[in-house]
Amino acid sequence: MTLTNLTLLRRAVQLLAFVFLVYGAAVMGVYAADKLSGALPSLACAYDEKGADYCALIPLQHQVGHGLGRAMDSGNWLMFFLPILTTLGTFLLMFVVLNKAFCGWICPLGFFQEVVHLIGQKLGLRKVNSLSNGWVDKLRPVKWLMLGVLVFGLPALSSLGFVSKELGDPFCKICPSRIMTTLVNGTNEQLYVDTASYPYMALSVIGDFLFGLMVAMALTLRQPFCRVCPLLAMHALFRKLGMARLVKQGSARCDKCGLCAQACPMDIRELQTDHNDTDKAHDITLADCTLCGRCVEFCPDKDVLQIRYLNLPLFSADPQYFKQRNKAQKNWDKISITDLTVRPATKAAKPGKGGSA
Amino acid sequence: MKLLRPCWPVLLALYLPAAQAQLVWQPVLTAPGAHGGHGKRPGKQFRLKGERAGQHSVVLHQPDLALQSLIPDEGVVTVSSTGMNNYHALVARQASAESEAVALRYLYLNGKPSGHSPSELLAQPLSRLEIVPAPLPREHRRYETRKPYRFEVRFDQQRMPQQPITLSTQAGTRLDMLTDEQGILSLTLPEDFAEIKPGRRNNRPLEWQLTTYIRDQGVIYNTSLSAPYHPSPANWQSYGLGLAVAALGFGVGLAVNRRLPQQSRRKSK
Repeated sequence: MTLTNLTLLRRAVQLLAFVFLVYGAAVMGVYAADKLSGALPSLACAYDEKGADYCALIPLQHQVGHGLGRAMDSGNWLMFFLPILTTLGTFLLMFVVLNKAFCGWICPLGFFQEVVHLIGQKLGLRKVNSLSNGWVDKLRPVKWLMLGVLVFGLPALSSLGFVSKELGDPFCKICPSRIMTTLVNGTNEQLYVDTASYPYMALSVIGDFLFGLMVAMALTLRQPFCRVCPLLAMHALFRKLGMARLVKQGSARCDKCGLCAQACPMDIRELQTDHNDTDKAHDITLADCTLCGRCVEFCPDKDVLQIRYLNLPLFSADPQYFKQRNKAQKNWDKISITDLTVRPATKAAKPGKGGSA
Repeated sequence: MKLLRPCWPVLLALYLPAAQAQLVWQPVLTAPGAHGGHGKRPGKQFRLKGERAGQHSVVLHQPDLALQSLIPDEGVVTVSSTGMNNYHALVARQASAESEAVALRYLYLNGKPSGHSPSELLAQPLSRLEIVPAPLPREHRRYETRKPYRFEVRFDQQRMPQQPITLSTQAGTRLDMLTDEQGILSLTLPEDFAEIKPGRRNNRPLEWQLTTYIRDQGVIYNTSLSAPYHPSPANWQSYGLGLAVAALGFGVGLAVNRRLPQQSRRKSK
């Protein structure tokens, strides 16, 4: 069977993952969901009472926030490192299997942003195809700051008594996923301003603001929060261990083409500019890559880009696929909720003209 | 009423044994600072309220359904870690020829994964008359005011429709309710804390208890279920303001969108 649209397959997987991770407890029962959360603390938001799993970032913040001070007091560092290594171990087990495909294929917040973007485009709002290089370069370190400061730094300082206990899990307090997953479960209990203390108030205001900002920006721009998400950074740290990879064996045409970079929702321009020598395949699973596969879909040259699993090609760039996919994309782009009279074009679009991949 | 007047002593006599036989678990408050985080903790301690002279048994049902007999020390039962993670059931039973009083309490203890679901523990008959949470709060959750909860009332494993059941709280609330046609009690814990300090960690929990009784073949069965509850975070969290701030973020996002250049990453040929 030939795959005619990888994005459709990815959306189906994302939808299934979303239902499972966000409504999992309703589907499989709360106790089974708790058991899964214990076994795989790495997927969805812990604040969602109906979810089926936890994001790895909440146990990490708690383990640093509770454990570091106690370990320093007692000198028992095993007590500190063992839980963290357990969390990282379970995260890594999943990560080795999926690599960064977690972001592009599983993450409920990533899927939510894609759906909001889709709604925005179908409503006829303007589309920002890509951010400027300058903005991309400014945004790239933010995810590392989020990971270093919010996931590890502040919880560690809180544990040592340098900052208040309210800063023990600061990333969760500002993460839009906490608000999104509870809202889609029909409760607004996480969309609040906390008046218990100034740190809580500040964190809750930032969290609410960030959520509103993310929704608005996702209408126009692809994956706005993913660009600064600390999980992307954590995935990036371990990306050389994953079995799934994006591989490029560039051609002379790559310099002039750039369709891959244009298709990339994370604006990774290096997809086009790096490894354009033709003699050797290179791993190009870069820090911001979510392994969504769009660059491979929109690459018109045979086997220049590939998604490989255990070094076996899983999905490869192909001129024939590109023609079909490009045509499908153009037809899809023409459908608008605000103007339903516009029908998809019946004539095949000329391949290679790009369109809005 | 005149006709009923001669019956009052009989009605009172019928009510009193049940009321007197009520047995409820209450926590023994530990000194501030005894909480040891996720490390080694002192055991959880409980005392029976309504205990009468005579023999009673105390059994801890573990997640794997193994039983552990506990012996009270000066009326205080200490529940130490069983090494197993998840919910345990603490059951006290005091029985005579005329009555059986049972106090139930579900405790979350930390330890290694038990490999058993709490549904196994809840399906296990702990007494003839039971009040069973449906479901128990998830890990890291707790009973809070203003939130709805459901309980099953079962006798000999059969749900009991239209069964009278009473909610009493430490703050003084008393509500008499009935289970529905499926034998399910749905209740929202009342916001009855006399004083609420802002912040999740700043309020000591109070206790609630559900009690019910039934007479079967001349024996009165009286069962209680107790647990701690906390004030709702809605007391110090403003949802209206939260929505307003999110709307502000949305507005700023729309404004930023308008300023973002609509450029293409593709190099012009």
